[in-house]
Amino acid sequence: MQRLLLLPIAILFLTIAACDSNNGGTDDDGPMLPSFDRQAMLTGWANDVIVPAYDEAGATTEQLTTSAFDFAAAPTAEAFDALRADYQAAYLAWQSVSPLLMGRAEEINLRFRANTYPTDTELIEQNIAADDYNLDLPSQTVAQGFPALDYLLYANSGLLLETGPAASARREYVAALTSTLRDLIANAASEWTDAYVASYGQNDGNSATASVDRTVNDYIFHYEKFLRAGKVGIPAGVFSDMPLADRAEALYSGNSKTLFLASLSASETFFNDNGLADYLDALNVTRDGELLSAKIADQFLAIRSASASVSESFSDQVESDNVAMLTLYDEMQRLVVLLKVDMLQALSINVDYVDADGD
Amino acid sequence: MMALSLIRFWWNGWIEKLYLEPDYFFSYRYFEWVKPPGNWTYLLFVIAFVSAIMVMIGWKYRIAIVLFFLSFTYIELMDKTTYLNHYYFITLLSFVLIWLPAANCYSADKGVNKAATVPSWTIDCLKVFVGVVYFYAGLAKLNSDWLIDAQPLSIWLPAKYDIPLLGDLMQQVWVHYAFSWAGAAYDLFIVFFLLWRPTRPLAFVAVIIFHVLTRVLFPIGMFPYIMIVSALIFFPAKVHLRILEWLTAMWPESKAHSKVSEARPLDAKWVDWSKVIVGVVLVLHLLLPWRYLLHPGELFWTEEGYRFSWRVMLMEKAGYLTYKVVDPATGKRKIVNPADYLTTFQNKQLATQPDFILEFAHHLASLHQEKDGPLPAVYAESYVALNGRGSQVYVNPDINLSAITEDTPRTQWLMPFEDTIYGL
Repeated sequence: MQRLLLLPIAILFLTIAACDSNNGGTDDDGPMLPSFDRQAMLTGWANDVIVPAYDEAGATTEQLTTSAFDFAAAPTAEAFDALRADYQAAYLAWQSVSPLLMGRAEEINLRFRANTYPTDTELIEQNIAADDYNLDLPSQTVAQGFPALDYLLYANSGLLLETGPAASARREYVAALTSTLRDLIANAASEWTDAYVASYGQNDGNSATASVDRTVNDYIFHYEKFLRAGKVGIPAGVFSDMPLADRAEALYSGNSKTLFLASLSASETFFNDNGLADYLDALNVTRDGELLSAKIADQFLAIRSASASVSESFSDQVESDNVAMLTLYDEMQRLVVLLKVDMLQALSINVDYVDADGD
Repeated sequence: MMALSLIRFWWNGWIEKLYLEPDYFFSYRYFEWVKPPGNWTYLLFVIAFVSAIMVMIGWKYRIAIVLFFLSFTYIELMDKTTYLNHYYFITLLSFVLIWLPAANCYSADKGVNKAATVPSWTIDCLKVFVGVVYFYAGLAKLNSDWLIDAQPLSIWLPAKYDIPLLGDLMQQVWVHYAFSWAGAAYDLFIVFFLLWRPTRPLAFVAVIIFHVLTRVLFPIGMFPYIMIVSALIFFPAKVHLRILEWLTAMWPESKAHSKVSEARPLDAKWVDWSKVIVGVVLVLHLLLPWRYLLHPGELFWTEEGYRFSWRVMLMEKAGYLTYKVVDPATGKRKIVNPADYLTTFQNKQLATQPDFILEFAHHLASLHQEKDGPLPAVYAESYVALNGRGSQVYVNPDINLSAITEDTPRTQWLMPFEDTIYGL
């Protein structure tokens, strides 16, 4: 009987061996999903998306810091204009870093220290008046970053150009905010060394801690919480009773839409051009007779076209005509479902779920 | 006439299960909205564990199996989230074993008693139990998603690219179909091959291969091991005797302690009663899986009658869900993200299962009621994607869930399923 038992086991192993050799050589066993190089995708994410985004954000915040200190030293109208322009450039560059904040960026709370809005104007004024503050404290998160700069550079900006100790304390606060921002970004960026990129790429397995799962989770999390809800949904009053005009991004400079579009582009490019669309296509994922990657790309376009009818300042928009804003939100919501339900299902990625048995 | 020793061995497999299981359970024990008895939960696990060992060595068998049944079932019932078919299987089985004389020989109660016998019906009914699990699981696979679209395996298998040796194979479309069809055939026919003597050893090898493979490919915990050991019931008594003798040989003291005693003939009245009870359970076991026929709508969509039906590995369902709570007096509304209240695992189960969605909607309503007074209207915005279809709206977004009860047919508050799945 024992020999009898060995036979099927032997057959099984032979079959597996045979199939394996098939894989190596030319294969005409019928349709086969082309093998997809996840490691290449990951290295691409690191080298073509994350590192360049940090480089750009690093360079622009460096420039911003320089002009802020120049302005503090010599508060001329020209220096002020340069400072504003550099602020705009740095805020724009930030939008490309924001979707993929992992590792150290999370540890140092980069997202919240760089871009928590609405900013606490009272606390800012208090800090300036006391001339004694520690921006590393959690309670100070709402008094720093781009939104705080937005307030200082665009609301009552005349105060910055005045003479006297109050005005110079104000200029020094602006300078302190810029250098803090620069250092935080540089700190997060410094994690992405060649060795780190290599180990990030090699962690190409299929588990909650593997790089693909982590990155895609962070990407979707950003889209859902910060792009959809933060920039559009919350000011439009989706989660409250009425529109909340003061919750818009870039409340004082009023260029919410430029920032929104930059963030949308970063998310869109990441999906279309940096591997996820190809990954879905390699798995031949179709939904209702159409490639899922095409549906997602179309939905990005639909969002873009819905955004054509909202004005530059989202704060003004929700007060004048919130319907356009809600329409934009609805289009964005459709994309959440496509990304979070359809795409994650097709890629067998869990939404940061705990491991559990299924049957 | 067969010696019941095999059941003991069977339990032997379970002890391994119970050695491993605690570690398992610890991770998802405390849930916010069901009330396990706090720290007493540990005691429950201890009871279940100790009684399982008692059953295995056959000491105070009857008390032990009752205790095991009660404690295990209680653990299972604490949270629906963790429902698994094989927990239900264990519950059923331990209930049946209460009524069977499983400790007649090779037990601490009776000692090593080779002369002891048990009626063959007791063995046969266990065979039916295990057989039904397989056969019904096979029947459930006879649907168009499984056989024609190779779903959900063609979603699950390609994701296993990092398994050595098999990883590349899992990318091939024919493999998805081969696995689907082979799985259905296996479930449908394995019982008959196990029953028929000439094919039995081969069939058992197939059992091992099948379950080990599923263990490698899917996160299904102890289920494969339980089923492998369960399948031993199909072997004749002498095989079990040999295994048990080998085990006793490895454990010499147990021989010294064992006392040989005459098997007491079974109390006739007890036998009659237990026959009736086991019979009723068997009938339930046979009929319960068909209850979905009483409900309208697509089973995979409404999930009415999905549980307790041996429907295993049939669905890949993913969902997205938020609630909107509207105060009727002020008209104020707020969006509630259930993830703020639940563990991620519960949240995942919630998003795709109607009874969870409804229960949590009621919970939200009562929370709001406690705080703000009037019973609010609760609406769900939800999307579900099933077996590789595109996501579609799941709960009817215009229906106030706080006005819906458990008894309302789900087809009335879910959106219709925009496709047809053929088959059983």
